[in-house]
Amino acid sequence: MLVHRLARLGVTSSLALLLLVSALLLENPGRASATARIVQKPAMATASGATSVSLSFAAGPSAGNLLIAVCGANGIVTITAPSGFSTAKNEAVTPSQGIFYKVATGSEGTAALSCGGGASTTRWGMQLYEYSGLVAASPLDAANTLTSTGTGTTANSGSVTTTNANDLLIAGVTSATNTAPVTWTSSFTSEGSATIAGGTKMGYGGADRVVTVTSAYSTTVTVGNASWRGQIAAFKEISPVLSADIVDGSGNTVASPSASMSTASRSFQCQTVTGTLGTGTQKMRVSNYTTNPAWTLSIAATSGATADWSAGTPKYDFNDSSGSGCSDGADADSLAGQLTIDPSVASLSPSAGCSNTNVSLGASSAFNQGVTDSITIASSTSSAGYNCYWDITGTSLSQTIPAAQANGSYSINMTLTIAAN
Amino acid sequence: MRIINRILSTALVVVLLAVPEFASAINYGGIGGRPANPVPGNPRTESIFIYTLKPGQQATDGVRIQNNTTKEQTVTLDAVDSEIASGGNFTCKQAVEQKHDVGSWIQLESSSVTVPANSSQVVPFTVTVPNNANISVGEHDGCVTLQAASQTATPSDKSGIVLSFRSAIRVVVTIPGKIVKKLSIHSVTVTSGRGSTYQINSKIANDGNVSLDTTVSVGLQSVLGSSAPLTKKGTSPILPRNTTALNYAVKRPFWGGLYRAHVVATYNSNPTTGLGQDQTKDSRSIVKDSAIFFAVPEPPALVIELLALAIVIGGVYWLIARRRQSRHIKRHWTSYTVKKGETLQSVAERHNVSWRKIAQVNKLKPPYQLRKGDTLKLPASKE
Repeated sequence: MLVHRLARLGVTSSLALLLLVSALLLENPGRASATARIVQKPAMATASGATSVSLSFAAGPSAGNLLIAVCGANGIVTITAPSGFSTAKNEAVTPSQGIFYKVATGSEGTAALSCGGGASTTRWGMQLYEYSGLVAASPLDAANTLTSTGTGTTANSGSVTTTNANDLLIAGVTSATNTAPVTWTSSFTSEGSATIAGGTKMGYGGADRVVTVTSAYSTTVTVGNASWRGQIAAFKEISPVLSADIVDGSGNTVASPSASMSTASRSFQCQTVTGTLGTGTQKMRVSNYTTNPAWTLSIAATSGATADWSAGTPKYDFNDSSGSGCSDGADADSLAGQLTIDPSVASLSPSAGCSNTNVSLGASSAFNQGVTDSITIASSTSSAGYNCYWDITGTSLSQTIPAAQANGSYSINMTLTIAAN
Repeated sequence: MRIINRILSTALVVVLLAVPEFASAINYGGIGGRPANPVPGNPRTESIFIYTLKPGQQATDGVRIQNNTTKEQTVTLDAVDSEIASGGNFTCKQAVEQKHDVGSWIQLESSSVTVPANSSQVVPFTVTVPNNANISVGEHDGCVTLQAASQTATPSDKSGIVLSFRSAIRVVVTIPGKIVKKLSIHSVTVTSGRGSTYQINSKIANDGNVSLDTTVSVGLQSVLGSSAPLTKKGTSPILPRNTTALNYAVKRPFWGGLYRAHVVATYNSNPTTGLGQDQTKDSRSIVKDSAIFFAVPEPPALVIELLALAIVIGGVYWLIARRRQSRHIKRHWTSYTVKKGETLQSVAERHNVSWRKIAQVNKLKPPYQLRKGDTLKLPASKE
């Protein structure tokens, strides 16, 4: 389609194809579907002649979001981080600056957060950001290792070498000039700035960028002709993935997941065995960290509609509706048996901070060759939450076994499919 | 013994401290994929592939495979046809199944890639629509599926259902021509849901030849007029030539009563508007109601309603009793002239009736003093 668009613009088809293939092979950070998004950033705070500076979020941050504070001060100040924040970078050399972070618990509210540690004559600047879409466990990837300071009109953030492909980069600059640092290079976006005029002039600024490949990153910003300090820190972004998994009680992938069925003795009557798909130690987990909330989780036989329960030679069917599965006839094979899956009785447990709203469990359905070859376990609409996972346990299984079925340890391979809608 | 107790207490504290930390750990792991080249301005293309191709035309694209686990993963890719799962939901056929449609149009550059931990890799592919006049106009769906080796069941001696799992990215190919967008609501029923909810079950049919992203709003409307506002339940794709069952939970009406479920389905009716493009223009809404049903009140409401009913019944009973009494007094009580020295108490005793009753009937007020010559209504029989 794009080839044809380019062709309409006068580019030959082969050149257009070459351009397109080149574009495919190259990483394009700007086009990446980044999950990191700034939620709020109160106007930057300054304080002159004070031992600390304070700033509040306009609204209480959401649990799991990443809070970042960048604090700068004139002089040599070992800056104390806001309460509960960890340090990404903190340098007590003129001018002093620190980048601090915290994964929000949801109970922070709009209480003032403070950076302190200076003498009563200190001139402060403080910026606060709340980001969603960043990992909540050990979010810091890296910070600049070499000090970046100097004098002049171009302040440099220093260089950070990321180890995680999808990162949010935060750069901060403090300079001894009242030129606001707002014009950043290398695709960084200014997220705030402030200046203090008169006396000891100061300028403070922050910027961000989302990247998708591991590399060394830095940025520069225009400041007044004075001493400056730059810092840069990288935070891990949640990669936008929709996935299905079977996990144990600790959230670790189960190596060989299965759902066992109740035992039955050989009988000359058609009988039913039951089981449960999704238990406390084998939970079906749907994780959606994309921005598309709509998905469907379904289950089908891995070998398709012609699959059977097998114990070597003896077999029986999973999708023959004839006689409610007790007799052969509704499909092409010569086997009877039908598997019914009832997700409607299952439990759906969202991850912390998420809900089941607009996520629904499928209705009870029986496999029926050519009619119902896949059964919906759960689905969501566009109004469901994302950046969430849901655990599904307790889906009921019921299999009819034809009369006089030979004894054996029967199994069938089935595949769970998670599909974005 | 004391030492053992201390050790056990310390261990308990350690466990209690460790458990919340453990429980709060969030697993961001997973293997999934997404389109490598989403189309600017069409957010749907960030999660599914969308093409409009004439027979004989080809599109070149790529699927980005993301490995969010902490281990290198070998991922198998397949292009397969789509199928409809129970309830009308979109899903994908298995890799072993015969391909007849979009699955056979996709050529992946690689069927297996190894993706390092916490990184991604793009696998290019082409979609080529066969130059065949028999290919129907409208939407054709398929999938690109991803399955890591760790997600694939290995032969084992386990009995029961041996599980594998995979993720799939929908591939939508629209063959241009006479595009028909036609939606109808087949049925709306109401069943009891979990907790304090009702479940509104709607079956929506797409009789057209392209899928329709349909926004559904539902609500319960009282037969007496007062209704809760409709709740938008989000957008779901209704696949072409298919009926989808959409079930939504709604809160039980607190006070109960006679209700009907109301379903509004809104979709873009403009044949030239493609999937993921601005759906708000030319939107069309269709509505359907369920049959009237009796909504059982919530338990507190039931208590209040029973109390209110008891009060009403009591009030009616009291009114009837009072009217009867009034009628009885009119018929059977006569006028009596108070004599010198008589008090309300003495008159009451003489007429064998309560002084309060006399005061009530004659509208006497405290201190209930009687004077000679006052006229009272009293039971006739005693005088």
